[in-house]
Amino acid sequence: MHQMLSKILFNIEVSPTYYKMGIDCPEIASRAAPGQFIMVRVSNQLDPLLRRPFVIHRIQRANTGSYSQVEILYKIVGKGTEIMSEMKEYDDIDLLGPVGNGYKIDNNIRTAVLVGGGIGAAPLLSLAERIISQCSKLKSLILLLGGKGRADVLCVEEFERLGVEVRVATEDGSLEHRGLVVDLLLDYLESGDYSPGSSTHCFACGPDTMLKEVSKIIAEKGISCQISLESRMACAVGACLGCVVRTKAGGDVYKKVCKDGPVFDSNEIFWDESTTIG
Amino acid sequence: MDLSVNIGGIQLKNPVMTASGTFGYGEEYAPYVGLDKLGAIVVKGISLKPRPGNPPPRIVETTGGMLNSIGLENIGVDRFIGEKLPYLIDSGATIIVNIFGSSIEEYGDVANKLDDTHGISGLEINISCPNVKEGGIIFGSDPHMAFEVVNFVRQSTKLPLIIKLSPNVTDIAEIARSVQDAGADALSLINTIKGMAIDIETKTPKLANITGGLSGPAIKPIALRMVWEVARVTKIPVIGIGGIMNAYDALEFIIAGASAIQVGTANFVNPKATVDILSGIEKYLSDHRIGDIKSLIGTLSRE
Repeated sequence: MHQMLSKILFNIEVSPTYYKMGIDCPEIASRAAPGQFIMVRVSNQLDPLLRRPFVIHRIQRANTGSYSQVEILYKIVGKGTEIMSEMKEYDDIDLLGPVGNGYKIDNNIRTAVLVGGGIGAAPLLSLAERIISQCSKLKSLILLLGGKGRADVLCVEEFERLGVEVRVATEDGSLEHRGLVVDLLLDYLESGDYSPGSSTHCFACGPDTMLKEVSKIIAEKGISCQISLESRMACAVGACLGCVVRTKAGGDVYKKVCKDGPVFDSNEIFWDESTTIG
Repeated sequence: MDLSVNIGGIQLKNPVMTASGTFGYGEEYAPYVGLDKLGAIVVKGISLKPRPGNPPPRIVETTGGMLNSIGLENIGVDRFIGEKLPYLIDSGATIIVNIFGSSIEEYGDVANKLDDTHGISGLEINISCPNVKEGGIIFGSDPHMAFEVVNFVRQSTKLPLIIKLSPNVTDIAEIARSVQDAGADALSLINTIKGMAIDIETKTPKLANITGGLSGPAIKPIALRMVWEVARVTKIPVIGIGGIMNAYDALEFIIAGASAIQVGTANFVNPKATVDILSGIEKYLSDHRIGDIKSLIGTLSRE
């Protein structure tokens, strides 16, 4: 993991309150894997104080051909992201990364089902790119994307450009299916358009209510599923123990989202009423 | 330039230490900081048996600070000695182990186990965690209880004892005098200040434990005042802790009477905070032609 000052390449609003930032940081880009994240110090002032975690949206090659840029996708949710949204091209940004364990991608994947809710679409783009380049037996790559409304459904074109089949659900019905992304997953699994067994993999990122449902549905089908968790976080190096999540390994065994995650096997996580993830 | 200080028998090469609970077991920050370059590494609090800690959410940021209720999660003294200590010894760091217990006897048992262990320079006794009922604060908020626990630990180990004090008391100087009388070699203060934060949409506390300990720059003036109050009425060295983000903050504590300082929350923001603070102190000493940091300790003037 590295700490560095990097240059912002662009910082654009991609949908109301959602931004995409490109950063020139070869040290991180050359080592980063889909599902890993970076910690951003949004200001040199004492408030906001802590770094903010952002999952890597895309790992990009420069003209030289080497991986040298990362992109993050973020939504304005508070003081920190508000400050970030005002940053400009060529500004310096203080980063720590890449942090955590990314998605484990089995080379033998034939069918990959990606499930994203709102800003949870962020890591799935770099994941889709990596699956396409790495899995030679891939037959089907499908993305199920959900959001409250049309504005919360992100990056559909980018996914389609990769050849990913995208199905969308919005809670207000402003785009495609009216309902939850979980409905799309149930429909997909019922349609039987996948080969059950070890060649089908599910990957999900989104709000914990969505991840909890996805984990439950997938477990019933016996499909392997990796989920990417979010948490409030302070250090990101495994020292503060602030970002823990409860696991099934005994009653009170916690794992650190920053160091043991942020990607977990969905069977590992213990979901209950009190499971609150930041 | 002489940066060395002696903390109740522990010789430190400089006054910059890490605060317990903010630096893991040292190895987490080794990519950023030469562990042997610091005065001492104070590790995450250790108990006799492993503890799972409190349910999440455990942290929340507040204005200029953060609340935590980790609940003293740790791997227990045996696994610490077996799995974490060898790495720290190899790093060349000066090692101080923070310990706590749920009873006076347990404090003694942990101290006793570490007494027989090679490579440890001293113990920091936590009688001040605000986040667990049975350990810590119950011993730190009453002068008699504080005396009893320190007196018992004193008899369980020959290692130098630093007692970490709580700010959540009416008169911190009274507790300080009490643990000094019980045989403490040094004091460290302050631990976090009990606080809370509420989500007004859900009307729920932002921490699962409802309350937590406030740390960070928001608490620095309170910490500084308490260090000053304690240093002027005790004879043993005082270690200043509380919202130290840079060398200027650290120097304020030293002038107020602290012989050394601990860096906590700042590590989360800047993983190199400790070494940055150390070089800032060196620059100040050099700029002010001070050859020995010891001559700066407690030099607060009222003029």
